[in-house]
Amino acid sequence: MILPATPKAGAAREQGQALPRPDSQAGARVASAAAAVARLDAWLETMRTRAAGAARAHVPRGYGGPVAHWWQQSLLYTGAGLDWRYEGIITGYLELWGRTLPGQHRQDERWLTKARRAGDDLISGQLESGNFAESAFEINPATAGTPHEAACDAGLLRLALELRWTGHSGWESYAACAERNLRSFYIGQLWNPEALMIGDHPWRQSGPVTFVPNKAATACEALFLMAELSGESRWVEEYALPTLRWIQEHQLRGRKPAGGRGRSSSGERLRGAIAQNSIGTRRINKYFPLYNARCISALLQGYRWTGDEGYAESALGAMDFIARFAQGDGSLPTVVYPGARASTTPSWLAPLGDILRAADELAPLGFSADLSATEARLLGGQDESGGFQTARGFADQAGRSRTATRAQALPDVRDVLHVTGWCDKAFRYLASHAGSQIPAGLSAPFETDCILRGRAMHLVETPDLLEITSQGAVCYRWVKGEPWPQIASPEFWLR
Amino acid sequence: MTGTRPVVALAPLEYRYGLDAAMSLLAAPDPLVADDASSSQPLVLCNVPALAHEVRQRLPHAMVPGPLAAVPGPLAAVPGPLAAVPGPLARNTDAANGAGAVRSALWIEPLTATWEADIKTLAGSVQPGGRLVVIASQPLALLLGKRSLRGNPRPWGQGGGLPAGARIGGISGLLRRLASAGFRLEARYGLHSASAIAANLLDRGLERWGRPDLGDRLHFWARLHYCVPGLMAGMSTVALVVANKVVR
Repeated sequence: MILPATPKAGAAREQGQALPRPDSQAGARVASAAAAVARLDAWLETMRTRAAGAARAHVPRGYGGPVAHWWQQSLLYTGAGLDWRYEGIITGYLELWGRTLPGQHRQDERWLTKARRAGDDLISGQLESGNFAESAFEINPATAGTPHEAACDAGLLRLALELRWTGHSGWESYAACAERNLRSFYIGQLWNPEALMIGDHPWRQSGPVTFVPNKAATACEALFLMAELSGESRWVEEYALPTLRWIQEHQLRGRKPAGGRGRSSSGERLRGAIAQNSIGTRRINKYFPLYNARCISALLQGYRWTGDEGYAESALGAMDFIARFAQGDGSLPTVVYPGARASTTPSWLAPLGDILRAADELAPLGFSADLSATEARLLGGQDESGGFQTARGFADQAGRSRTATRAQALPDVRDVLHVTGWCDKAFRYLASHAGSQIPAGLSAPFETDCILRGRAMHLVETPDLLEITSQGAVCYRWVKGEPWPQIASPEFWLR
Repeated sequence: MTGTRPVVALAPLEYRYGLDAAMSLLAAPDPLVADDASSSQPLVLCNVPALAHEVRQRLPHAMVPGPLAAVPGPLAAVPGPLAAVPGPLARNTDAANGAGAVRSALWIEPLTATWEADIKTLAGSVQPGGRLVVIASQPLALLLGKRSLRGNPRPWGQGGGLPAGARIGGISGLLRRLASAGFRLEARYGLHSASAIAANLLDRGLERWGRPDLGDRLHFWARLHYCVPGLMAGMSTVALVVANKVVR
């Protein structure tokens, strides 16, 4: 049974529910989250690009660093990325700042200062086209990255809403920046007026219609926020709701499993999963738990807006699918294929924040699976630097190799890398559980043995430097703040 | 501003791969040279108009000989898109900035018609001990992928002229000529290797045959073998050559 839909988002915001917050947690858990957030905040500071100078006038400012991802890597471009990292960073800082309700004393203004600074990064990095520079995460350098620009918009709009709601000045510039991107890119280029959805490719360009549910969902989140800010329902009615229906069409509905405890069929195990994408009429039947989780918030917003329980059922179904694949150690497969064949190489750490956040959002609707092991796995991914490691198992992504023994013993470089665009997901989730007392945090040097492509290496990260050596020779050196590493041996050219 | 090329308009991966590798190879600090913007920026000779934006979104301060060199400030300050500049980006054979003007250079797509003159420019511009990175299409580039002329009415990267490296033995000839001009070969890599191409063909087949799990594994295997060093470099679509100017 699904609980009644809450009123439209604007009304929810007035009730203090705009940024969903969980019920009060046990003290120890809150303290643990607060300590983790403090250290993660300290690490995030180390990832800022250096102050602008003549030689940097044409380089975006903001949060940088190398990227490890399922699809590909960006270990060479290390400058600021104006991508989905800003969603978690801005929202996380707003979470920390917005502990108290209006009329009461807001806590530390430094969190708001940091949220605004992140918003200012996006404003200064917005191009004439309305796109953001370096917005393609693992594909950087490039612009017009999806879902990244919509995620930036969502961060900007949350910032604008919070500022306006609390009577602060300056919210208009953040709202205008997001609106410009939504109008020129998402509506102007990606909105397909024939198929009635936000696609993943400018619809006027030749080629098949492409649709990626999780990316479209992020765009829908931004559109709901835009509607709330502007008071114009057309952002939702014309664009978001038709797009949500496309997402639902990519979901495996199927029948509910019959009673009993027998082994469920693969079809039943996949029930509720949302397919990764479609190209023309061809559905790509791969099911990524992380990306399924990233559809949930938009589906819930559709439910709150319309009261249509179908959206809530879709959101719950996607989360049930995810929970069905949770392992005892809290890990989740990166992708599940037809036949319920699951790939756990790699298995995410920092990105788990987005899955746990989605579960939080569904709790008021009755979702109650125990994901405490997944939360423990996330927290276990934080090391001395304060950053969260990315994953485990990258070394086996292409299959077990001759170096399997070593690979099992040592993590891959990409596993232990702290990636801003993953750590923001941990940051946002933990900030929502951290309570109001955030201790002082420190980013300490971190080092570990690791491998890359079978070669034994040693990684050292300090607040100023990321350096990786092999047999005493430096094979990767990135001075934090710089847009490219000074040294990168061919192993690190990997895409 | 860097990072300004839309994702849907990016160059084929092997060229971006080479450019990114070049950025790191050219970023290596030289303690003997003062670290000011002008001396640390490489000279860029780019003969593929379609790659001009890719260069620009990585190297907004690139030092460019010829007419653009007179434009004050960084390259990105030049009004309008680089594609609007007559002729290929920065391809200039008679305007070296003087001997030893730069400590590094990036040479993209030597052409049969102009490579001898380009080498003279490079030899006269790069300091002794300085580094030269060359990105050059090889014969496979014209047979496979977006650059292929086969059944492709609008192949990517057209308009610059015939790539010198795309002839049989073209890269070897280029290396010999570079050596005689005072550049010592440091390393040679092939990008988008034949083994990666074969694995990608197979992975697409596996996907069609209902085994996307195996297809993905092959895809990632292909990525791991995308760049090959040494002799196997010739069996790939693009060559990445790293050379040093000999100190005499």
